[in-house]
Amino acid sequence: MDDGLILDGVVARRGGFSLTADLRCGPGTTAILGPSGAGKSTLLQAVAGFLRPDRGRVVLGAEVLSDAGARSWVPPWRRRVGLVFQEPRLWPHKRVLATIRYGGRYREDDVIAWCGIGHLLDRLPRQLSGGEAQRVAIARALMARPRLLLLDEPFTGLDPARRRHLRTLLETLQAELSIPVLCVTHLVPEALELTDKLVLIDGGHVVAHGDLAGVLAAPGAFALTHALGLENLLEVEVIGPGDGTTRARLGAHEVLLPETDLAPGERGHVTVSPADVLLAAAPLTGVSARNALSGEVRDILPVGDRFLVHVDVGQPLRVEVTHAAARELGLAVGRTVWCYTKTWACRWWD
Amino acid sequence: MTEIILLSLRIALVAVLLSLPFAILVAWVLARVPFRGRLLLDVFVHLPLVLPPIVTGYVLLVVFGGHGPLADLGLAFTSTGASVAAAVVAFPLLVRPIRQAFEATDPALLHVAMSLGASPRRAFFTVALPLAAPGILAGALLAFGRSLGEFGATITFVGNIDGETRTLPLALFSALDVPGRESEATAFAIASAVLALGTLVLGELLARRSRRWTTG
Repeated sequence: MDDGLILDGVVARRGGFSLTADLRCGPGTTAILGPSGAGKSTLLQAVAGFLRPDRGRVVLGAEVLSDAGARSWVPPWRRRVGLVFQEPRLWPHKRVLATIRYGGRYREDDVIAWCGIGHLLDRLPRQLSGGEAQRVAIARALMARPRLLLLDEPFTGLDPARRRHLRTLLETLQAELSIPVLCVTHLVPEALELTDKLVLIDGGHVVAHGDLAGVLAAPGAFALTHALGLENLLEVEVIGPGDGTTRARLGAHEVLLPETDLAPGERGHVTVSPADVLLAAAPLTGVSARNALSGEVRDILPVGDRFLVHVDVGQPLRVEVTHAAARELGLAVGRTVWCYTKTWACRWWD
Repeated sequence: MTEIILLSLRIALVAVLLSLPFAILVAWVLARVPFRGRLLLDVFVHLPLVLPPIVTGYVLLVVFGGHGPLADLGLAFTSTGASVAAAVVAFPLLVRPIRQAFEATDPALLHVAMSLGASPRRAFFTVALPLAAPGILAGALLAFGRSLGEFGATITFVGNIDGETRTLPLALFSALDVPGRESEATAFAIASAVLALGTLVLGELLARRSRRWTTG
């Protein structure tokens, strides 16, 4: 992990809030997910050097950025950690060219081309649109030749077209510069389109980290994945196209999913909301739902005024039912049930 | 008359230029540097605003006068001394708008500069200071206007010497002292009012122009 970021037992306090973090982020993009107030920006502040941790070590590549035990601390201006906020935070008095050259001129022509800001160089920030300003902010960070890039909610406030554009830009950066990128976001789809390395933060703690399947399986991560709409992530293998849909294999079952770019034989992930799954005590006939999965009930969890039923269909599938429905079905752990979903209730992740 | 106006303008200008670096420093410390005793500094800076100017003048005389610890600077009864008196009295008016400008600047703008490798000093001079320019300008003009009208501390510290320390208010005071010079006194009063008004108008015009560049 020569060019990665390591947070080793870091405890950082800001106001009355305290963040505890153990993390390893290699090259490539790592998405930091969590609800607001979870400690995401505290984490970024500690890495950027504007917040001094009370305990633990922050290591970037071969350099120790801060070590509370040894009382060593590299100030922010010697860290070469690029910062891009949700608000672009451009300097109102500086034109674009002067802005992006502030920290250096590393691969100037390339950066201007990647960010698509060649026609904006003599403008002032107030003459830029929101998307343009953000691209300038990214260019400014890149031209200082950062060893690590921190993005704080970069997708928030952008329309879908701009989000796609930003995603393409981040993919370009990933291909061109092999530096770690930490992207804080609460927008799960955007995060998953960027990377499969996720860190879940809640209540000032790292709840889970790893790929999506690993994060979903982590104990304690459920409430969060629920809040993020991520309860069910099913791995499928594409069989082939079928009449405006895609046929795929899910364990022993065959399912019909929305169309995809994946070729036959490739594997992918689909999500389905627990509320979009119908539960039956016996196989149904004459229903429009295309996908039937049978499995054994493993767990019944009360969530609010409903139950969340964990059915093992070869992979965990979570289904939401009302208390009344659960009673009428006679749901119990160990019982075999049938789960039905419509094709369009399933969404592809990749 | 012209000489008196020019002398007044020069003394006020030197007063502002002399105190501006200190005012910027103090404003920055008050706005951005948390430390124990900040309240004390705050009170001390505002003192000349509420102290009778004659007391300020007396303190200056004690410090810089014939037997004072800083007598060697030779400020007493000179035009530079008049600038120092004006600077001290106008200092709170200079500090306040600059401090407000520093406080209004988003600290993240400085953080970004530092993340790009700028030392705190460079971030201050390239980001914080330019963004506070409208506040600095406003404070400078306010202090300039106040310095033009300074009377009590000046007459106490540097006296009323023709061609050296006799500014417009002191000339007006002298004219009032002698019977038969009422029309001269009126002329000095009008000149003072016109200069004060001019300073305020200029300040407002510049503020309008400069306001644009700090609103991103």
